[in-house]
Amino acid sequence: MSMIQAHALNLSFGLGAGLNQVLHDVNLSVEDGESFGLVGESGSGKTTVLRCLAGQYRHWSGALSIGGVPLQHKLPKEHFRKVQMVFQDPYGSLHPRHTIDTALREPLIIHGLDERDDRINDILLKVGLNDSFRYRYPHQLSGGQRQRVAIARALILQPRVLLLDEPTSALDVSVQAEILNLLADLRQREKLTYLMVTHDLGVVSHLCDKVAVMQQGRIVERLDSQALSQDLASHEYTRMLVQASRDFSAETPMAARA
Amino acid sequence: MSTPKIHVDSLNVRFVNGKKVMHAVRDVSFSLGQEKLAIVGESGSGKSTVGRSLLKLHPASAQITAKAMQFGDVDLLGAGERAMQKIRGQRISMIMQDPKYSLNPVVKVGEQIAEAYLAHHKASRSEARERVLLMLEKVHIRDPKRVYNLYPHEVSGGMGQRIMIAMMVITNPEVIIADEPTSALDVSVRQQVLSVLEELVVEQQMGLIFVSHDLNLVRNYCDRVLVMYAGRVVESLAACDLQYAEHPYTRGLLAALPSMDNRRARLPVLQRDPLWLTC
Amino acid sequence: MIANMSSTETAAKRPQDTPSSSLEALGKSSLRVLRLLVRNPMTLAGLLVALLLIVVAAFAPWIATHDPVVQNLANALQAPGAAHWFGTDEYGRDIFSRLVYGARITLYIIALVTIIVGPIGLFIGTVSGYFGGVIDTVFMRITDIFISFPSLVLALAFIAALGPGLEHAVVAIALTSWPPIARLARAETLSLRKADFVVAVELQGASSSRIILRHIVPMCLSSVIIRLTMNMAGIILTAAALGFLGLGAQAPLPEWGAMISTGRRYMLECWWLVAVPGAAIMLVSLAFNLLGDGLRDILDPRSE
Repeated sequence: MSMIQAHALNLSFGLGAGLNQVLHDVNLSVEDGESFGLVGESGSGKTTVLRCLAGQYRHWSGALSIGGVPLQHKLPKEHFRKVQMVFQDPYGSLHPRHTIDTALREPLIIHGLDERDDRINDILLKVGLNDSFRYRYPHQLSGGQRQRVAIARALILQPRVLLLDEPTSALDVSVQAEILNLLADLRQREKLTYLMVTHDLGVVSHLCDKVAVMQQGRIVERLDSQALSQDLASHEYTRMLVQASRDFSAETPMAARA
Repeated sequence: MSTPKIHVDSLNVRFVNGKKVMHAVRDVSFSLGQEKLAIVGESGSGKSTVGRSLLKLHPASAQITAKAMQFGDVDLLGAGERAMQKIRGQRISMIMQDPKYSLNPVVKVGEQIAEAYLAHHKASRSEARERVLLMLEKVHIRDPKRVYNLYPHEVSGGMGQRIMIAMMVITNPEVIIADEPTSALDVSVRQQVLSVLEELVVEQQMGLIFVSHDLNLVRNYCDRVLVMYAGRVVESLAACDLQYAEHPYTRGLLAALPSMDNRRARLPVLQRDPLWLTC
Repeated sequence: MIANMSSTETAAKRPQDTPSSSLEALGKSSLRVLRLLVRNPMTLAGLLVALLLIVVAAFAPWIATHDPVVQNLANALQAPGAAHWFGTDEYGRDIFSRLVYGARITLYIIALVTIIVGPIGLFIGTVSGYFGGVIDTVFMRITDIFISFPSLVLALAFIAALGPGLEHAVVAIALTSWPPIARLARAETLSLRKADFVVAVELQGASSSRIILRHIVPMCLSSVIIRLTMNMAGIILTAAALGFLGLGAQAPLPEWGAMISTGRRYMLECWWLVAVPGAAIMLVSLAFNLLGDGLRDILDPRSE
């Protein structure tokens, strides 16, 4: 059964002459336990798809469902127990005046869950932090640690689906590796389904099994990550993206460029 | 390599804030000829600080010391503010990360480039305009006359960065410092901007200092690479030899990059050695 | 870049001062604010004067040398001296004692106005900023109406309708000073509305009231406190002006503005009648301005 399903998803902003359609008939299907990547450049609408699933936009048309349950335009509280999101910017996604403890406690209070202290300690350990971080403020943490906290906050409600919006693009390479490893481990251990948005083909082929390429609000190609690296992409735009990232990638020798 | 354009010997930069002293750059030495020199490192490694200290673009709290900091016939270390003003923009130009913040939003882009030209050259308005149009053509802007009259918010990121390059290169500088010039751009336009920059550097025989966090980009684009960690240059090598890098930090960074063609279940994580801070 | 570097520096020495409870973390950060507050001499001066005002108001009966309202006509219009430090007024009342008791009235007005204005401004500002749309339009037009009257004129009209008196003066001042607070809170809220951390709590299923109260209000609070502190100077002046016009506190209450008003008849011969309460008004409003400036330097997230 597919965990995330989007059928003929359309979304536009503005009215009349200023009408700007940002999503055109997007169809997506992500299986349970799968890790799916949405690739595209800025303005391609990849983040918009994520935000529709997260309930940030309410005027989409088409059909969306998570775990077989169709989404309403106004989402019930239970929805958020199933779907959580991790943001791109680790500096902006944590409340600057709340300690880590407050940030992690908040979702537990909202959903009326008990054994809060145990849950907070557990989740901190799961993301590779410990309880010495509990009473610190975000500005006392490094970028990588903040992103771990953001992941902990998303996972503390034990969701089935994690929406990842460029979770590592604001991080240094060495920290990115740590976070990608953590995400891979968590998916395996917690049986999570990932939908990840990124512009980095290296990251997407590392973490995802399947990839959809978006351009100007449309999905232009769907393929396996395996196929992506074996140059089996058929759409021109995908080939261009692959080529562009190959140009700077590890395996191309210097001579090829000159 | 001809005589170096820039020669720096044990550059140190300290930021003093009350009693706290932050030693941002420690004993960095390099020389730049007519080549593309990359300075790579992670955030906080001091790579941008090195670029800026060459132009002395630092707040008053910064203390810059060095055994030597020579630019052609000018001693940058001893140069006063007035001498620096003559150098900045005319002999050494700097390209920043995001064109959105570097262009004045209420002045037409063409006028801004002309302004940069007139600041350093005696010329009439119409001459300057001609120069600007020529320059816009050189950075591969298709319809220079139309683009001349656009405002910064009307141009895309890639075009904005090419306009910045035009503005920085129009004065015929000897050295360009580019601080992450493409990290705000999409991959499809990144290529274009880089090749424009390369063309100009080769054609006008400039030296390029390319500050970046992106090892892969640098290894194909530049001639030489300085790898910085915690304010020090830990390794300096030819870009094509990057895969034979010896320093564990450089090797660790290379290994930690996820790659399309080399899929691994786990990425090796960089183990930081405290020894790197002292050697 | 530089900020990044300093954060890695602090990372190295962090383990020693890791707080182990919410309370400790909160205490640490408020201690930091206090330390910064005391470091700037101008702010410190402002803080001290404000504290002095509070102490004087609290212990007025012990500090005052005479009864502030008992008249002694034989002793009228005495120049400052050992018996009466700041002299006496036309009814022979000790001006120092009246000044001391006047501090109570001043503090009462400031406190009451602030307590009324702060929550109203915050509520209207954050709600209209967060929800936007029709709610925003309605609230902001109401704010516009209030803001388009000169504050003293609106206060005068209000008192003209209700009659003079201290409580009415307070309500009148409150009525005219909430709109800037509401606008400020709204502007802050608009910039926070799309911030990732607000979206993140929305995605946790938090209700709108919870988001506003727990996540947006704390972020607006510092700039609102700064603004309120700066406003206090204006409140003192408006209260004094109303007192001067005879519309605020009524005789024989020792309100500073009213003291100037009655003293001005004897001003040429007895300077102390006007100069002493005038200096007090100036000193206190200056102090609150300095304190507000200092607070802004410390609390404003933009200046960090």
